[in-house]
Amino acid sequence: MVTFSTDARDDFAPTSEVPVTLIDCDVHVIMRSPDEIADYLDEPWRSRLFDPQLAEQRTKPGQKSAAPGGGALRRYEHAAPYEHAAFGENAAKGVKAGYLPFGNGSRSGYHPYGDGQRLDAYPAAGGPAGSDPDLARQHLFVEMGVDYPLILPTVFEYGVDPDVNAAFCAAANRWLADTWLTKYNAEGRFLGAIFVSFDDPNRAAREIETWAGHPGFRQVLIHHLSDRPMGHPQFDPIWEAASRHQLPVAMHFGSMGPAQSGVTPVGPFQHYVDYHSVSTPLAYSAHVMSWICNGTFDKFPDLRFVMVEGGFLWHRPLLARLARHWPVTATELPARARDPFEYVRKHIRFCTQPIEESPEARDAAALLEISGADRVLLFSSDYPHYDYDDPQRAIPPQVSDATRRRVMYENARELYGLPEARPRDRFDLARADRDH
Amino acid sequence: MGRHIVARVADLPPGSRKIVRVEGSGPAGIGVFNVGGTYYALKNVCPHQGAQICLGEVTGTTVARWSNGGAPSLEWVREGEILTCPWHRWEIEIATGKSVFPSRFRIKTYDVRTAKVQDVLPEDLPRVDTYPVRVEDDIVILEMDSKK
Repeated sequence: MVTFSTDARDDFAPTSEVPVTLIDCDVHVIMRSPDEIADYLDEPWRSRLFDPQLAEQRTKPGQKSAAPGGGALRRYEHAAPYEHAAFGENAAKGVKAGYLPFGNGSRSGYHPYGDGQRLDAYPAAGGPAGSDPDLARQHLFVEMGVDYPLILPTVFEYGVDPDVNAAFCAAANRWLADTWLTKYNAEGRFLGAIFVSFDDPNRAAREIETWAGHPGFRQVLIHHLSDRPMGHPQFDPIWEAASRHQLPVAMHFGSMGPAQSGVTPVGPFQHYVDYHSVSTPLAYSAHVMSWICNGTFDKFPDLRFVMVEGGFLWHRPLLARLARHWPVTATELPARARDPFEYVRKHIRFCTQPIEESPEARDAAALLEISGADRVLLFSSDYPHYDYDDPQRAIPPQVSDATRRRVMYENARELYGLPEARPRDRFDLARADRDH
Repeated sequence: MGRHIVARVADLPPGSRKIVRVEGSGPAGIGVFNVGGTYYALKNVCPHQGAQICLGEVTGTTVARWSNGGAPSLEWVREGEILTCPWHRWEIEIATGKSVFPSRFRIKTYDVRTAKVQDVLPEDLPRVDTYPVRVEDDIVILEMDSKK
């Protein structure tokens, strides 16, 4: 739809259009409090898991809250060790040693990043980073110049019970549809993901069916810490539903259940920096290998994955090792592709953040180009997390202009079926005002 | 350019900071810090990805002490002398604008001095808008023209 202002003097009339030049494929939003999800939960979970009287008890002066923020949530004995620190005491700006319980209480169980957010992303009125639409819009649309953010909501995972996990996913999707895709989205910029739990694939497929027709949801979101690589046929119902509805599936760091983060094939990492560098790429490499070798893409030709926040360059040397086997692959698998990289080109995309850096920026740029950035790489910022990548500064300047355009918006535009231009809105005017 | 009063000494005690925007400072401004009684000023742009670095936490840092054989010991040092970027938490020495880790990264620094208002000729000192000072006040003066 294109409309033009009839007044020739009115250059900034809201009905004119702007070209889409920046699509951010990893943006996180979060509820102001875990209690906020209670309104969207089905019974019996709303009554079983939330007790308003508990909230009252917990806010007595001098009494420490037993739950991470959100006073109404009952403590569930078998809850996963992963608790979201965003709501707790450690969410205060500037706290030096925040606690994120990764691994088994190793040094990867804490790091000096508070709860892992940009310190300038906390709303002045309180609440976690990413909970205030005004601040998020100011940062994303006015300061960063993002045209379309793909939201991957941060929802606190619950535990080992697939019924509870499915209930929380359903509630999270209702919440997202109600808030960031509607109430906070008059300009139609925010795009959402249908959050599903992998621990009950049939339930996940039904959740996809529930939201597949909603224009605000552009993909499916799953977490990555499963107990089998995800090419295992037990997960097929999820891929069947997603691909039938032409919805890409974004895989992002996270878990349902007791999965331990930071564990390698030879035991747990001790520190944060090694865990953060490599543990997600290791897991993602297992999933990618598993999808290829189980014929997932042969079964579901319309299936596409977006590997978010798990690196990019690693896939080339690892899949080259698989490619070496390809001439005799038919003795083990009925794979139809000419080589494993054909599956990557057709079915897998990677996000840039956290972008691999090198003291020699030339090397970083060359590696990006050789690895097929122009075809399979999508820009992401991971706003508002601390390891955020700024769209103006993150991609090395030596990357070619053509590749840069592909990465910053063209690849994502094709993947998500987004337009080449969108209506100019109040945020464009505010951004233009900044520049003057 | 030139010199600017950016604060009264009394308003900028040790451990405190202030972001000021003056002519020539760029849109993000300049952070003025009091570290143990000495004033420093840093351009409010991180060399990594452009964050407003002067909003970050002021802290110390860790050093590893290596002895002959054995694992190094880690010590916490320089509390209050280090500025960490609010985004990726890079550590910068407030006094020099240099990164703590070995690199070529450096933030532009500016000269800062203090004086009594009554000792400074009025025409030498353009005032920041509506900044109230009295002649007996000690003030913090930012020098924009020094090359650093």
